[in-house]
Order: sequence, then structure tokens, then C-alpha cells
Amino acid sequence: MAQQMTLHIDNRLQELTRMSAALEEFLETCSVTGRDAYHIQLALDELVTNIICYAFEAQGGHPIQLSLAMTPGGLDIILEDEGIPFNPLEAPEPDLEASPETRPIGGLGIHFVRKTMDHLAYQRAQGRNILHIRKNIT
Amino acid sequence: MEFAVTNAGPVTVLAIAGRLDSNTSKELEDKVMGLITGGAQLLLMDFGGVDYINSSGLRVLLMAFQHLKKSGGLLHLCDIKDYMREVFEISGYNEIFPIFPGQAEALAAFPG
Repeated sequence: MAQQMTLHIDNRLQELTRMSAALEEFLETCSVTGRDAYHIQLALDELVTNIICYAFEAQGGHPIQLSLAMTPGGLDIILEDEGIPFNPLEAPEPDLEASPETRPIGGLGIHFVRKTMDHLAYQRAQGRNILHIRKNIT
Repeated sequence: MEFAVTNAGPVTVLAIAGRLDSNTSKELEDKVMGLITGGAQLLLMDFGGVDYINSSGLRVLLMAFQHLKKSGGLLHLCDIKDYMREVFEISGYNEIFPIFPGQAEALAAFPG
């Protein structure tokens, strides 16, 4: 049977600590460690932080649902929220060629997600942002 | 998040321990900006005790670099775990900050 976990997160930054601890425990159960575990922690940290900071007018009282399922060869993740429509796949790429003295500070989070995850698909359905994420684990 | 500040000649060494995430990066920002406004010009940040960094942590490093650069200062980094070095490469930050294996190499690379 596939190993699964569903986590309900309130849209407050303090919830990131609880999410990180729950992820760590789940990934250990699935024997996902080291670089792969860091990539998953990082990608979800960046995505959920964006939802908490930008999807709603105020923090608190808006649930974010995170579902993880370990399948042969990888981890399938679904991230859902009821915030304003936002497709992270359409976010502009940061300018990595800009001079470091004048380079804008920020904009790296989604870039990390794109670079560390193997598949991303976004849909907007029934007032929800639904992001499917796949991380291959070998 | 814990910090230890020491001096090695003209270089201010900031050793960091803990997770650098959206909840703790402000602590690092306050610490680093305090050192820079207090006159630190040559700064070495030791990541030996850091086991996690995200984009908000990297944001603080770029901010520190930009402030130091204005006053002719330098920022070196050392002892970053391999899996975290990768995000420095993904973000192109490995070309902004010189990154060294340990404090000795990082200190030796400051001019003078």
C-alpha cells in the first residue's frame, strides 16, 4: 500500500514549522533523505510561503491542503488553496544575469521549485488553486 | 537561530547555527545589518551549523552583499553543506559570493 499523508495548514507563517516537522517525519517513513528530502522541503516551503503571504488579504483562517503519496519511483504532491488565482508556472523567471549590485532581491522561490521538482501542473477548479507536483526519487 | 561573532584580524566572523527560513531570516538580517552598520567591512559568514536555507535566507545574503559593496567591503561564505550549495548554484549566487570549504581558506582569501 502506498504511503500517504494529508496535512491541513492554516495560512499563517508560524505553520511552516509544523509543516516542516510533519514532512520530515513522513519523508523518513518513506526512506527519502538527504538531497531529495531537502528539495521537497524547500519546494513546499517556497510554495506554501507564497500562498500564506499573497493568496489572501489577511493571515489566518484560510486552510491550505497538502497531500503527499509515495509511489514507485517518486513522490506525488497536491497543494490546494482557495486564494486568488495564481499559476506559479506563469511566474516570471528571475534575471540571473543581472549585476549583483543591482539585482532585485527576491523572486527565487518559484525558480527553486521549477529546478528541483520533476513535473508541475496547475489547474484552477471550483475556486481553488490546485498544483500537482512530482518528484522522481531513485 | 544562534549566532557567534568573533574577530580574526580585520575580518568579522559570523558563525550561524539553525534553520534559515521565512521565520528566522529576519533574525539573520538584523544581526548582519547590525554588524555592517557597526562598521564591519570584511565579513565572513560560517554556515557550518546551518542545515536548511530557503529563498528568504538567500535574500538576506544578497542584501548584505549589496550594502557591503557600497562601502567597498567584502563578504565571504564558508562551510556550506553540499545539498545547500546546489541552491546557490541554481540562483547564480555562487558567482556573487566567494564560497570556501572552511574558515581558514575563507580568511586567507581576503586581501591584505
